[in-house]
Amino acid sequence: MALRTDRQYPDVYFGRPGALVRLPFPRGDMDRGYDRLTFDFTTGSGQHMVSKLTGGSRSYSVNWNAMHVDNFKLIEQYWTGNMGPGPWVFIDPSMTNMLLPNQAAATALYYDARNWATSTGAANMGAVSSNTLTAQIHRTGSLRSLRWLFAVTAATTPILGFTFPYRSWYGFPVAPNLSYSWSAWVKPDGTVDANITLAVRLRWFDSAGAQIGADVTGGDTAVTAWQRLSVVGVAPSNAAYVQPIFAALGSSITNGGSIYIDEPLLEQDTVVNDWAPGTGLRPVEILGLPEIVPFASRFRKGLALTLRELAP
Amino acid sequence: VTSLDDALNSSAPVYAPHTLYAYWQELANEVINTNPDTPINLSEQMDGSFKVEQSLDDALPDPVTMTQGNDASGSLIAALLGREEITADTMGWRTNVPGSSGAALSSAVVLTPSDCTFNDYAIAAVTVNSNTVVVSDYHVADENLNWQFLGAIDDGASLKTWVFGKRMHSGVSAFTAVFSAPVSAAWICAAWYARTPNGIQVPLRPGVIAATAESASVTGHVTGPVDLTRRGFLVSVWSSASASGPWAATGGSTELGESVGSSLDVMIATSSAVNPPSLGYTTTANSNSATATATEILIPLEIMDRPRMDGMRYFSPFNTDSPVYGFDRDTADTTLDFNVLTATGIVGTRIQTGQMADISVNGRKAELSAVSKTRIALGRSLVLPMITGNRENCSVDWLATWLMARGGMYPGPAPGPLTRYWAPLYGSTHAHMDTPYGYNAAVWYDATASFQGLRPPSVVEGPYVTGMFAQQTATRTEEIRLNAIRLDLAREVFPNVQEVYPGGLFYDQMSLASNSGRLTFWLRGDPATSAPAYLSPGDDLLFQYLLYQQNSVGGFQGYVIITVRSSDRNLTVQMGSDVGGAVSVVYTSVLTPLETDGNWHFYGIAWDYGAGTVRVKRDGLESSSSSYASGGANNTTTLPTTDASGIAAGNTMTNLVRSHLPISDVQIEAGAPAYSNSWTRHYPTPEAPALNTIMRPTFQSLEAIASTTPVDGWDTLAELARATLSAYRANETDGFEFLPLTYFGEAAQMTPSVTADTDVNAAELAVRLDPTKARNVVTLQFDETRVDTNFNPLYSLSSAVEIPRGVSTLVVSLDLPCAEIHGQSSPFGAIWTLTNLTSGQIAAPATIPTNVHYMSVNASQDGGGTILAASSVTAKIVNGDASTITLQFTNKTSKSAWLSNNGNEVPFLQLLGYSVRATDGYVTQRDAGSIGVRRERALTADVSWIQNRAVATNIAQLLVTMLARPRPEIAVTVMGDPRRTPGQLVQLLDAEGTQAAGTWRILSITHNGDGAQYTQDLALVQVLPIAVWDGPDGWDYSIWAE
Repeated sequence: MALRTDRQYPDVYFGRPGALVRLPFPRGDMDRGYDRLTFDFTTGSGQHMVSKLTGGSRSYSVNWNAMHVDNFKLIEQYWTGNMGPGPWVFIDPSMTNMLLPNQAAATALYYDARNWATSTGAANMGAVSSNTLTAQIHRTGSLRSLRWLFAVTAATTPILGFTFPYRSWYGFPVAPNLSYSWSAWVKPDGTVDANITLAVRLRWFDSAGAQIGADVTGGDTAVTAWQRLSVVGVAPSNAAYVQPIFAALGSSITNGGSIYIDEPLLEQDTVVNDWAPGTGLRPVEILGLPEIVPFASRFRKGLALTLRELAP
Repeated sequence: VTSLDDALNSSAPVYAPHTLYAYWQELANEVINTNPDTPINLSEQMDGSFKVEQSLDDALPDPVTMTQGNDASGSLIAALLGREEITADTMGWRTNVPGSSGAALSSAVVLTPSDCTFNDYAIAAVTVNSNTVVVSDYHVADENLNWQFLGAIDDGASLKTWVFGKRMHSGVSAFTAVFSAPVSAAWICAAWYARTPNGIQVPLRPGVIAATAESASVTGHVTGPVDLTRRGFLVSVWSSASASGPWAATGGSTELGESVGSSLDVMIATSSAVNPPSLGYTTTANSNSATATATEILIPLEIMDRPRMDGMRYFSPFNTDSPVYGFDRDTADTTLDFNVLTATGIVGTRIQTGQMADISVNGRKAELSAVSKTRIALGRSLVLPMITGNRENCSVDWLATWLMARGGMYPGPAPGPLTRYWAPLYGSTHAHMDTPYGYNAAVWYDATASFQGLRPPSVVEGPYVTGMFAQQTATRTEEIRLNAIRLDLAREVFPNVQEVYPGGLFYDQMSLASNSGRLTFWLRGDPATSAPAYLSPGDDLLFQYLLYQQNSVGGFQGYVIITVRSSDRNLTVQMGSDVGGAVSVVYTSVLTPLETDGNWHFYGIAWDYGAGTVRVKRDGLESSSSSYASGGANNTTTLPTTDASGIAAGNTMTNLVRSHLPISDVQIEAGAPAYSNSWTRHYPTPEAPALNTIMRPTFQSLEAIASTTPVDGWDTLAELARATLSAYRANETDGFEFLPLTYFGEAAQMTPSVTADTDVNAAELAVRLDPTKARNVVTLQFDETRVDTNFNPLYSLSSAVEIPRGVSTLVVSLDLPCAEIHGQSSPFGAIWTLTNLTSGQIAAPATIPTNVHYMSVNASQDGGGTILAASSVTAKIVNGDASTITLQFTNKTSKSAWLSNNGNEVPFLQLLGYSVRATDGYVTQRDAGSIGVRRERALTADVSWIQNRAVATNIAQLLVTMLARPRPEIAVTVMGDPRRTPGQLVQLLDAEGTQAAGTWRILSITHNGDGAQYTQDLALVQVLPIAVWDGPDGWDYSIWAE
């Protein structure tokens, strides 16, 4: 197992995608627990049943010990409404997988292919579903992987990607000029088709949804068994979003053939790390921002920016 | 064991987001999957908390004895949040803009662009060469297809333009503008769209338009101004005489299309999306060939971006920016599914179906409440039909299913849009759907004579509920005879039909307008004696249906005869007429003869008389024949133009069903669509709404139905349940359940389906044995009812009544409630006209016929004038119920006539019938053992729909058995299982020492959801085992026993 690299960019980012402000890393630590609702039922004899929901969301408490007013105003402008209504994005480069849970888990959350989507939805782009065949699952202990099935003749370049974490976003928000890595384990079904050529790519978009430059590709690879594909790219200076995609070579796909995908990983880093679970880089809203003015009024202290992730 | 079983039996279940839909009537055609932001899908707006209550009314007659929570129908309360923003990212218009024109048109069919998709907004413009013509019909029967009238303008002379708008959805491809007078017209239609980055459809909405009629003839034209309150398009419509065209949009607008023809020219243009919004926009265009005094309309079409809204803003009834602004909050259908993550994926279980009752706003959240739609639907005010038990048989089952049908609930096949007659034969021969003139009965034949009526036919268990017994043996034939009269008058539309065809569909049965139809029924394959000596050949049959169109002298203008012959048990269909001859086809090879297996068998026969073709079906076997065409038996030359015109000319139509085998579920359909090879409405499993009701027959008889006041359907069903000790409720899918004791004695209901174990999934028990509910003396008060077996006067009039010229109507309230309206011994001889008394009859009352309705009509109010015969004044009965009769008079004279005479106490009008008499009856039953311990504790209950003493005694005995001792009840909270339903038997295991273990029945369930919490509060009663056995006549009997 490769050692995860230290983060090169210890700062955090906040604002609208494409118009982020850079904030100092919260030295007072950050509470970013993933809230998954549970219920503890006590039976008449004192035994317990515990139920829980499939999904959850994070709340953030971002704590700075002290902050100069010039930095503080960068946050304050959102909390006080001076930047208009939200929602916002909070980019914490320490996040280990930016994909939503059912994406990062390759359908093992809902046992269906929600949050995955081909580029057009047409039949020649293939159809996605949740796979249960253990031979087609890469992650140890997982019960599911994603199946990308081509029941009809594939398009020239079938594209598979994700639905975005928010309805008005064009992808996953990024911090300009930072490096992002995108990787996944893939394999052909091995029965109908034992050799399929595909690549993982990164697509950058500006805040208006226009693609910036060409896809950054990890290179077409003829895949015959489980193999990890990856690509690393730097977000252009005007980038607001990234779309991580799979691009297959349609001519390499036999009708009825499938590609299985597991352990997809999108993160901010210069190298490709081992897979980690993801809960998504989702829109947030500010729940609170206390403000204590010490004697030296050029600073603020007791700063705890409280955020809550929102519905998609 | 299913994956759901495994998931719910786990001690650590995982729940997926619940699915809550509200099918707003305003969005009736919206497709959920094509619009992720649709207000129909409220799933993402749930905050996770909900409360659903489902319960079973155990039909005990008094509140003292009721257990808790038995409201008999479900309710839902769910908290709602707001919704995220939508901001359009891509917007524009469709490329295909059809236009057309024509001269001397009475209507114009305006097509929408073929590339329109859901939630686009279409604008149609229609220009005509008249300023006086009006468009009368851009509204259609389906309100959801209606177009919105946006505005109109005319030049005061010969040019007029209308514009209409429509939010597009499936089913919209055109609208028809019907003109009040023939005109030349040109029309055109275009559509606009807006989408978010994720493809969510953003609605568009027209603002306040500006319409301009120019006063000068120019080439450069200006229209407006209009205001845009948000970003949007400026859509302009330019109309002129065609000589001035073609039009060209200027000033940055884009011409989308132009329709030129019939001396008219109409063009539609649009701006790009204008942002930011502002006031006072105008647009310009040129008429390129000549100056024109044009008319113009400018429409601001606004893109309904919206910010994120919390529950308060989204559901505030006053927020015009909300997508659900103006929507009715008490009409939408609702469903709630509880979703569980299983090994095979997410599995949903419906826990509530109903109708929205309200969405209230409280703080930052809203709260949706919904109730059972079935309960609302069954709560209709209904006038009950008249039934004589000793003629047609009568039972609780018949009345219960009749009431259910009025609310769209059917335990068997349902009537469809083409159904003209429906007699399911559930506990009576009386039809569930008929005209005022239909009477059914049993006809008995034996070696001595035939005898019609007054011997009630027997009820047997049927393929769905019951059937009516009939037989043909060596010594006796009992015939079920269904006499459907004047089906051209049948106009009742059932709720399931009303939803699809508002107002109903009505086809003729045998006329040039329509001569196709279908008959469906079930026969029981009992053995029968062929051609017994006492039967004439015409009466020797197993089944027969006669459809005749006969002229005034009895000549056959067209007929269909369907027979199952007794000789070989084969189906035979004959069609023909006097002019075309007849062809008869015996369906032997494929259909095969009716078995003698005692099982029920389905028959379906569809015919197209004009085409000379027939399709037949018996169970899974199907055949067809076109021999009728080749044989010339499809001659339509003598058919009347319509059924009604034929009857007006003196024709008679016959619809007669005769069966000598047990029969059930008879339907007669009319119209070309009925000639179909699709039998799915009937067989093998009748399609919805059929079978949306679970019931078992009670076989509990009634003497008569003769209600003198309208009744509430739901309340009457509740009364019927109490009269039979049947449990009832509207269930989780909003189906109806009517469950007598025999149902709970069935093996499936005697088998515990769920376990509540305090060691595993149940909280502590609240055990109750309430002695205050014990009743050991039960007195039932009931309506002891009898029906006169001889007719007598129902109504006698001795006050002069004016009969105005022409046709008039008189509604009379009867002196006695009745079950039949005629003076004949057999209902098949019923006479629906009134006899005019002559002067001789008035002078000698003894000569007045005693078996007919009569009236004496006089030219003078005092009865001293000329006595008027039927050539001057006629009267007939057009409707009637147990307490009122509607008479229609036709006065052909030149002045008013009077119901009057100067005879010696001769009534001016007399109507005959079979009256119903009811008196209060009482029975009392005691439990001596309980009395010995507790002394007497009395319960007196007034129970409707028990009409004879034997039934009352039986019910009172059952009640006192159940109530004589305290009834054990348990309340317990259990870990939720969405499949639990009231009525289920629960195996209770208690490790905590109450020793309440055993089998208990669920009376009510409250589902409580909040985040990951899903628990159910159960109200249980301990029920004694029920013993059920078949009686010698096939009836099921049941008692509680231990």
